[in-house]
Amino acid sequence: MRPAYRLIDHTADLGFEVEGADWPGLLAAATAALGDVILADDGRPPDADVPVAVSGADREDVLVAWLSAAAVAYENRGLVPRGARFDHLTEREARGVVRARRTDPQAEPPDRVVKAVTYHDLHVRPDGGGRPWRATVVLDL
Amino acid sequence: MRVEGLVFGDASLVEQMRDEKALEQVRNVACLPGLVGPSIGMPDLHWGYGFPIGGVAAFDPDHGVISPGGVGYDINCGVRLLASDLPADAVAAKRARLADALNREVPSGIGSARDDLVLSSAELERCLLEGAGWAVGKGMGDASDLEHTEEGGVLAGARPDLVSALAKERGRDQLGTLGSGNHFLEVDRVAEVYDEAAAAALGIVAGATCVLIHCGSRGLGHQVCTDALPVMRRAAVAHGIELPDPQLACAPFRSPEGQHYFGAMRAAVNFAFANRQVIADRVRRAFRAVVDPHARLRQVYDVCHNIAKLERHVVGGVEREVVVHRKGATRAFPPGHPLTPLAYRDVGQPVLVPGDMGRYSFVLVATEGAWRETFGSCCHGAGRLQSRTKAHAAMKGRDVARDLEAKGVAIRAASRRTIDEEHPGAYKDVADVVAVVTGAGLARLVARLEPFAVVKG
Repeated sequence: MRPAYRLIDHTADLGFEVEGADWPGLLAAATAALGDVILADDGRPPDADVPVAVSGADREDVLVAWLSAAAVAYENRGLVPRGARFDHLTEREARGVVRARRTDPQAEPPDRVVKAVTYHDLHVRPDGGGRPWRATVVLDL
Repeated sequence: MRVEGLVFGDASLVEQMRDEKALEQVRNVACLPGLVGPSIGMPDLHWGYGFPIGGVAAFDPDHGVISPGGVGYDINCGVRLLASDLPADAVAAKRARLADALNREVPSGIGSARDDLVLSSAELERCLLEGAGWAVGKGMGDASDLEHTEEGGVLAGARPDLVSALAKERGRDQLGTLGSGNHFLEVDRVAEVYDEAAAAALGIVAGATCVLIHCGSRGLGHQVCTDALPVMRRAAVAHGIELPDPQLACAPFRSPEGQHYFGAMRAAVNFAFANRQVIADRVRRAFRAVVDPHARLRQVYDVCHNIAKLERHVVGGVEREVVVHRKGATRAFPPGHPLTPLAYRDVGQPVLVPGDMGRYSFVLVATEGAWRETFGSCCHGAGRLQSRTKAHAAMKGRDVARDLEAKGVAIRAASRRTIDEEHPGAYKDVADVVAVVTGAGLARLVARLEPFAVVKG
């Protein structure tokens, strides 16, 4: 299923606003949104797992660290993030795998090269009251 | 705001800055503690993360801060200019083969790496300590290259031990690679010389061939910044620093967190110096293979535009040490400054201002005005006019490479999308930016360069 996100275009770079039913859903959707930015999802299922363990002071730290690890997996190994599975997830810690699709960036160039995941205007909003969780993420391209 | 903002621009450029909220970012920087002068914006100012790109800020080392956001992700992104006496017309006649050779010699694109230069842990440590000198020690260049590089191509005080294992892993096989985005190699014709004496001092000859190299510290530098940001966010809270934007995360310069970042950042700076040194060596190889086996490309200068440094400046009539952050801004030291290379002591430090791949770039020299008003800093480029998405969409159905070839510019890139996103119209006219800095007396014009072969990251 494609993640629920909206691209935010900007002269210098690019961001996305993403939502999920809860914190795990939000982080998994943000992972898939990042992958969709890198290379549009063509429906092929993930065929690789990238183990990730990150921690921080708050959800913003965890989100940036998790997505950064996913971006590096693409930079180094051509693994496009398509989702996430968590073994342990709190507001300060995440352990699990980035579900990814193997690609050869030479044969199948990315749509966009994500160099870093920034804290700029970063918001993780647990809206509550049955409304979805939201995050706004700006990427360094 | 703790200090004033000082922005250079003409009416049109300032309107663009206002539209994309870059002026707000100048104001946000002016809220940080320990500033010893205005929060400065260059005429190529545009929106960045936290700090604007084209921003300059100087802090008191004892009462001020250091901020990774004030340096940028691509630590020591910079520009190197090589010059030759080779007639551009003759070289341009071989532009397709030369572009192919440069594209082969210098890998570009996402995660670009080279298998002929994978550094062991010990070699990487030395590279992070020695900068461009490490590459020269391996036969990739000579002492003259180092003399014509900002800081001699190495920042003292680098701490490779504070660079994370992941950052080192990302950099291990990326030395001598361009990377992606707006990084490039460009072979230019010296189209016009405005100042004969300064051009002669710089070794720039009308009608001859030059090469511009634009890149930085690759994944290693990005990871140093990524690693530092959460630490700095916590430090800012611990030290009671209110941040208008979390990407302005910072720590007192003398604090353990501040010194940790400063040590790791300087190692990344040295990695970038080494990267451009290796690339210059590969460019020279390509010229010898395609143009002339005896082709000689002298280094005019190599200057950083993403960095934080301890420098001595005159503040309120008193010379003192300050922590200057330049993010998308070039150091510009005046004639007579002891850190300006001896050969340029009478004319001032070269300021290299690339434009877009279809029009031109400029070579300037710094003046006393920059020393007085901007902590010895100047502009660094054109700045984007269109987002990458809009630029790509605008070129739908067009063949940018063919259009450029029709104008005599051979282009090679990792992907067609990159070429679309970097099409000339996606950038402001760098001549407008240069007109502002020369009009404001921050630098003076030396020469205009026009590209005929380009490799894009």
